[in-house]
Amino acid sequence: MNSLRELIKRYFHILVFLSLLIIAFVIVYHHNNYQHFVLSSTMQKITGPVQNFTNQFYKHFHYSKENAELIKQNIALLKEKESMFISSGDSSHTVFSGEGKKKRRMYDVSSAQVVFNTINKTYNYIIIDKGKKDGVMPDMAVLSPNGVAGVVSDVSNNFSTVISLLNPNFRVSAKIVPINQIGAVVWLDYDPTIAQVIDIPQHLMVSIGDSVVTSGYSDVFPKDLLIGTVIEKYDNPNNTFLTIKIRLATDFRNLHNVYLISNLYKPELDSLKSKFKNE
Amino acid sequence: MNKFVSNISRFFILILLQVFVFNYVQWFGFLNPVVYLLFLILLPLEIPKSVQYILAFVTGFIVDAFLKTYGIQAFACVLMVFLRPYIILILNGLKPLGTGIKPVPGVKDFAWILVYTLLLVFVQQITVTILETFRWADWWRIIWTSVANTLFTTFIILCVEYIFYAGKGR
Repeated sequence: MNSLRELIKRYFHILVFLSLLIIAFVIVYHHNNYQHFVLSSTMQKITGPVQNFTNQFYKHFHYSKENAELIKQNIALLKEKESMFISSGDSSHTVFSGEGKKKRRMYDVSSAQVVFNTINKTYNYIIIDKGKKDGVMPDMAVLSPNGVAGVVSDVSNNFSTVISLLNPNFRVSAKIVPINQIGAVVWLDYDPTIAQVIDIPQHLMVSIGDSVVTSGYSDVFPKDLLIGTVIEKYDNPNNTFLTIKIRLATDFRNLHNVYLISNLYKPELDSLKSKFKNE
Repeated sequence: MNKFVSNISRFFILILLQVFVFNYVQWFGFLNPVVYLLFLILLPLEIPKSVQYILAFVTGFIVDAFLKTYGIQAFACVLMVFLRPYIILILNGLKPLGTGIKPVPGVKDFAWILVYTLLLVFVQQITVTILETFRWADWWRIIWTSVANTLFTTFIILCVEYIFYAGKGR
């Protein structure tokens, strides 16, 4: 104990010296902008890579939350697409009313997770984790982040089955973009990346790379949603129609998160249709 | 007691001189004498080391406050006062320090005083310049600025010493 006291006594002035140096340096750091800037940017050079590394590491814990946020954001963006509204075509009306373009919402968007998905069968289907409880109805459109995925067929309380695009029963009215020709997309090749557009007459100029989008002539899909791009076309001597193969925009092997699109005027349209049938 | 009064009056006079006269000497944009160091150079070695450091800090900080370079002069002064005994030790040929050593003209000869002052002022000046410049890329400028300032300051300090202290120390 005594020797310790002696030691402190002996080196006390060193302690004072060092603490005064540190105080002076802290004052330099805090009261001189230039030195502060240089020091902190130097420290940033040292700590930056470390922070970057820890960030890379901790990032993985936030994915699910971030994903939920992104899905929310995507839904909001999808809802604002022009094709989600009934556009009022009569310009005279809007010009004179002076209220700008009047838009009525036709489609609403929500999201779901895929719980089951087949791609290698003849009749493929998808099961999603939203059901009657969440307001899912038969004939709602199902989109992947990249394009069209299918149509809801049956709904239980908590789950729904979706007829995948990879199903010969699925048929969607489609449009080849530059020539605006209406056809239908069907899946015939048993390859989960390729489908065919049928009913396109042979005299039309279809070129490789053209986009195929939904036509909007059904009440299920809004118009202008991407289905795929043309990769192959050839004339068929036995037939008056072109055979066009398209690469599907949706990656069915990698389907996790889908968007459900419901037609808000569906009951109205259904009742009209049923009357038509009855006559 | 007499020594105490003379040190205190030196402290005030030199700081006033520094603040009101020498801080306004800025020749060629870099030549700025720091004459107040004379107070620390002449500080009696008998004072406890920790007190010396605190005095150096306070002196430096007062000048800093007027130069608006908070902490830089204080840092350099504390470092200078810390190194002072070792410089004296080296200058005395590594003989252990006696009690009666006074770094004052009259007690020591001119060459000793000159080297002693040069070394101390250089330590202080290079520290100040490094802290002010704060970039290693400017090392050449740091060196010649501090050398020029050291020479200029030492010249003024020696003039003051020999005008006011020659003959008194004996």
